Amino acid sequence: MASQPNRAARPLPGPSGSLVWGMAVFLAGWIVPGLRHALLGRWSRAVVFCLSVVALAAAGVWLRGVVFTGQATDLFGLFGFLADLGAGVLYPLARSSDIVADVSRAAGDYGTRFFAAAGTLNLLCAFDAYAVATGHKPR
Amino acid sequence: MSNISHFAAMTLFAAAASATLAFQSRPTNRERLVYAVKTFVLFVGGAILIGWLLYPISR
Repeated sequence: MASQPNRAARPLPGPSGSLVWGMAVFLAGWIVPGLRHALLGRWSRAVVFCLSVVALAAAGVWLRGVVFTGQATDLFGLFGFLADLGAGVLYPLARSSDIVADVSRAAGDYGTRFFAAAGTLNLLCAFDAYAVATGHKPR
Repeated sequence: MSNISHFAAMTLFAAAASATLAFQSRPTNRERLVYAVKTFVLFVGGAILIGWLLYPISR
């Protein structure tokens, strides 16, 4: 990009381009939302990613949404579990909370969607970190 | 008792999603702000528009 010459495909510290390095970055960003960007000193991104994911996940638990387990009997439960798992460390925290899911009210349904949205947003951020680490995307 | 209105829920989701997408897809703060505001307005405005379009068949 002509207006942003200093941002053009600058590799991250580490063995940039390797699959293992990319996977390590992906795992760090997946387990703790925003961690990878924070380690690189990209604080604005780290704060925004972390706040967005944590706010959605906290709202999901507060509204008593369903946090799916791995024992899904249908596709809805399976995809819900995969989306929830995307929230990284927030998933076991939500599962261990004392708040019981209640989808008899609309708020409970919103909560279910919020937690799934937090998981998918976090996965998106982790894939973004992976693309930067492997050199597929400029910083 | 935890509760939230449909509009507040939609606004919370739109804010989180638009901020995240803006920081992922735009390099400068100014471009991010413009993109985030645009996406937020499209999320919320689109939902309101669809709501009004469905209003005649809701009763």
